[in-house]
Amino acid sequence: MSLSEELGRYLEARGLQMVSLRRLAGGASQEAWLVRVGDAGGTRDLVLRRDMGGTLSSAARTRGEEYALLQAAYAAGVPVPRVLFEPLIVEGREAFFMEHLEGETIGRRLVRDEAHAEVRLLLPEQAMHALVRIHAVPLEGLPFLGAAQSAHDLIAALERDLDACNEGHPALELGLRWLRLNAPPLERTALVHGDYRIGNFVVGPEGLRGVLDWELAHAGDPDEDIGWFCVRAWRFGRDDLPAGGITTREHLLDAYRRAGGHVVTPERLRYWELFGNVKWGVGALAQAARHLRGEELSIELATLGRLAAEMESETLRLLCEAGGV
Amino acid sequence: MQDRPDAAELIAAVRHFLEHEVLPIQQEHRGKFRTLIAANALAIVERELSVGSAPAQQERERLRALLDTPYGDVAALRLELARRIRSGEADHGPWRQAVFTATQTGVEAKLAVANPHFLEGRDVR
Repeated sequence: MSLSEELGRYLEARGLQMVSLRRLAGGASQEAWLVRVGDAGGTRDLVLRRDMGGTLSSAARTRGEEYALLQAAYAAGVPVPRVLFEPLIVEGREAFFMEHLEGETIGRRLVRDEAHAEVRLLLPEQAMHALVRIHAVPLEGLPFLGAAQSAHDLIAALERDLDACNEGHPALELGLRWLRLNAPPLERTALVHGDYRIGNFVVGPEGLRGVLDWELAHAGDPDEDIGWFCVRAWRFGRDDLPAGGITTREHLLDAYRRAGGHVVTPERLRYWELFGNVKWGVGALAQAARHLRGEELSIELATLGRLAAEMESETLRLLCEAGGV
Repeated sequence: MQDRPDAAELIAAVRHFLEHEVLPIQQEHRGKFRTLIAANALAIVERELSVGSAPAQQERERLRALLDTPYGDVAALRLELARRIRSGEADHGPWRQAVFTATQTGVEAKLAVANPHFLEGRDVR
């Protein structure tokens, strides 16, 4: 049975007619499909998210877990797409349906296009408001997250992912070593989104409509999410605005605190921004390795192997700034 | 020896085809995005062909001097340097500075092929 037939039957059992199905741009470790459905009331769009078979890193969540995360986030007041029905298996892979939120998701457009100039002014506050709520999600309802991961735990996982590539990357090693020697203690434990940045948001003219892509969520230090937001790769060329290409680091930290979050020092932010660059550098290599091992042939995954040098360069620059040389 | 177009010229022709004939007929963001990625991959190959083998030879000599060994190819030398950094041998002292400088030079050589705009601070992607 084809994907289309399988989904058609699943939806039909829920009183919906599948009208069309098309693959969306997006995740390198899971697929997203836009599914148009109809009933007596008319047609509407749903999104199907499905495991791709490979994983971004050894820590990636399954779609069933992502479904539970979206439910918990919604209950905590985080703007997210609402999940629908229950998780399912399609062609042997875990998947779930969620509502389709209209709006802009492409990071480069959000950061650079004139059409989004006004909403860019609202996003820092709104993104930090939502992040404070994410960091307040009760962890008890999400047992699959396991124990909170300290910086040392996360570094060890990155080292394992890097070792699996069997390539020497001295710049990333310099970063990992500095992260080891300067690791902050785990002072507070929270739900960490793990990929919280421009490019994983749905944005309308009034602002943030939904936070997407929960596949790297884990229990750990909430400051990790704020550092990741500032990683150069997510500025889409607007290096004059280090916080996601939309604002300054100072304003971002201030917005987080004003939304009810704890005080994050500039030193903590620098630590987790450097961590984010190393994490994305290792992540890019790990995804390229999946292509190179033939697990999943993809031009997108292949070229990530050459993108890693950008994170290496930024890691070295941040090390210099931190006085680590 | 092969007739022209040579390898670089063939790659350039395919990139031109992707950019000017395939890209304009892509309806969806996903198709446009992947076409641009494919064209960019070919641009990387063009730059790699044009710099030739000199950067790799320079890196080999740089790493052999840094690791004080007359042997090893670049892949093995990088792995050895990575191992020593992880074990803490480059934590302090003059060798740390030498490691940092050599690593910086190596990363810049990679970026000169992978994305020259990045080093100029005008990343346009």
